[in-house]
Amino acid sequence: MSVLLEVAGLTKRFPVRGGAVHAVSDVSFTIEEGESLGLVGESGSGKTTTGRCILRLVEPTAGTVRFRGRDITALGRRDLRAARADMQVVFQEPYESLNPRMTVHQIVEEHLLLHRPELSKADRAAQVAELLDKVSLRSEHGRRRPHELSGGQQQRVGIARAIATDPAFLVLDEPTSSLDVSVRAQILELLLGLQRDLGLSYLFISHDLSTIQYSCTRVAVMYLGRIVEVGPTREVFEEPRHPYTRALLSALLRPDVDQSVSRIQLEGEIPSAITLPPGCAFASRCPVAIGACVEAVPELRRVAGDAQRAACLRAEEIPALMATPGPG
Amino acid sequence: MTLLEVKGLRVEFSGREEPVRAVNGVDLEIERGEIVGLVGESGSGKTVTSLSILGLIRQPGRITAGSILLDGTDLRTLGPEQLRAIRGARVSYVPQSPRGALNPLLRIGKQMENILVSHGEGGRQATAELRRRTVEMIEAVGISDPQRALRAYPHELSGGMAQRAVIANAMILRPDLVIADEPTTGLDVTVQAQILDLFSERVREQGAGALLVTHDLGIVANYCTRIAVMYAGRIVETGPARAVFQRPRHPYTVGLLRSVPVLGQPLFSMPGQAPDLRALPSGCAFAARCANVLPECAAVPPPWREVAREAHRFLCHLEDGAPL
Repeated sequence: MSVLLEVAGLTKRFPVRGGAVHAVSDVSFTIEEGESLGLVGESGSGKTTTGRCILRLVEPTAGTVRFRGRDITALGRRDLRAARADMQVVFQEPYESLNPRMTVHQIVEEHLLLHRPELSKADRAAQVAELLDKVSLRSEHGRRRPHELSGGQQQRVGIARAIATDPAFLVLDEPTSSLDVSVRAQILELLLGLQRDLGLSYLFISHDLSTIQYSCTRVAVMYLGRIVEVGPTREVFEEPRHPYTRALLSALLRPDVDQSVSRIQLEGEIPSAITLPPGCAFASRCPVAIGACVEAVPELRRVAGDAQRAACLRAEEIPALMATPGPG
Repeated sequence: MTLLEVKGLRVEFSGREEPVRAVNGVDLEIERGEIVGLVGESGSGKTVTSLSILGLIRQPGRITAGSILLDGTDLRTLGPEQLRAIRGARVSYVPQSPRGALNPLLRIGKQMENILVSHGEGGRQATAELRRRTVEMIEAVGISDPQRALRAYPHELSGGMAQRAVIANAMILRPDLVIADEPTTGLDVTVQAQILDLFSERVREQGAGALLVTHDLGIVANYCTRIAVMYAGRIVETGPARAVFQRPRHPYTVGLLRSVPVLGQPLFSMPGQAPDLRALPSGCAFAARCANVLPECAAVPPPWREVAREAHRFLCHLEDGAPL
């Protein structure tokens, strides 16, 4: 497999009165062709901003984003627009991301008009029909407007629009979070099926660990703008090496009355991203923090296997220090 | 006596077209000391059911049938003044969004004092006594610096802190029944666990009963003693949480449980969507999506089935429920 996307040193600060919100700090990762990387974290962890910076829906403050070797952050407007045919996004709130005045047909057609101007009207109509079929919508749905559809159907429209230009890579920003449980499963199956059929790569952003565990081969955990742990999903979920990953997994409530996980109770909440604490951002809530933790930001380093990395000074001791959450 | 007994509750919302039948004959019981999880997807009627218990159904909504007995007194027979005295003091509410439940212009402490005063606990009580009770309550919801929290305005609190304040508001009059509607939906998972631990601890400590409305089966499995699953305005399965999770019977409950992704198990994707509440079928409302549908399901209303010895019931034509 070859690397499709390479993010290096990605940083985004939003200026505010008296300083800046450090939304994303020095984030680096790669995604291979056909791979799904899960990006998990709580609100304010910077996962959505990371996804938006990659597509330059938000301009990064620093860092590079290489897509098939080409630096997206250096592109001018026209080249960026052309590049976006290959990298698309599915948003969390399907209704808010669809133009209420347009029909479903027009919404899906719009990207074709932009990126495939050579297509005749009849060819475009045929492509739209095919796209609707791919997301299991009937052709009559094409004549409806977003408010006439259910939440699940709206998200299908959002997905059809995203794959209209035959992209290689999609940022999925909480694509199932606003949907009902039974509909979530439908949309997740659709996304996984499309990935298999079209060879898509995903950056799958979610706060829901079960969804990531089910759909991604690798996972990166974010806390206060930084990746604190990354690796193969199986290894990270079975033997997390960062205390935050452990706490997050132990807080996961499974629909199982016999769940026997000793929960790691974290004190307080995620600190402000305006005045970042010195050293490890998690130290203020960490049950196993030591003096050295607040001195310097710990490096994301290899701790186990070939590919599991964690940004914790005590990563090697973590399995012994904290109870194993285990994936149920 | 049973703390809360809802019998045959029906609620309609009328508009220009056919009325929306949001709740279609709900029976629900809650005893002191138990937390009942009311589970369902959007439009299933779980929020309308809880608002009915609080006497908060407003036009164009209307309770068309049923009774809501709190310690044997039918709340539907009470006037607005009597209901107001009961709300907060005997039945209280923790809504989904703490921001919407707190007055943005008043300090947290003042809001708590107002609750005490409006239920007649101010009067001759000295200010110092009101203060003492608010401090005690805010400590009980796990806020480590109570003086600072009481002086804060809602916008100065984080989401988790604001939800703790809302729970403090809901518990300060020591209600008999607490209704919490998706109390942790907007919160992060690590904070969610803190809030739910605290909520169940307060409910048990005060000997109250609670109705926890949620779409999250993980919350019910971990925090509720009993579960009631709603679909299209009816409860379709109810029983002790342990019994229902170990052997769900209604095809909808089975499908819902299998819709939660678990590694190493195939994800079950329930087809279709919930029915239109303006045009419900004469038979089972779930028939169109059911994997185990029988010829009679669409036209004939399903009967209640009892699972022996477990107080576990489900509404279905299948005698033993869906096969696992």
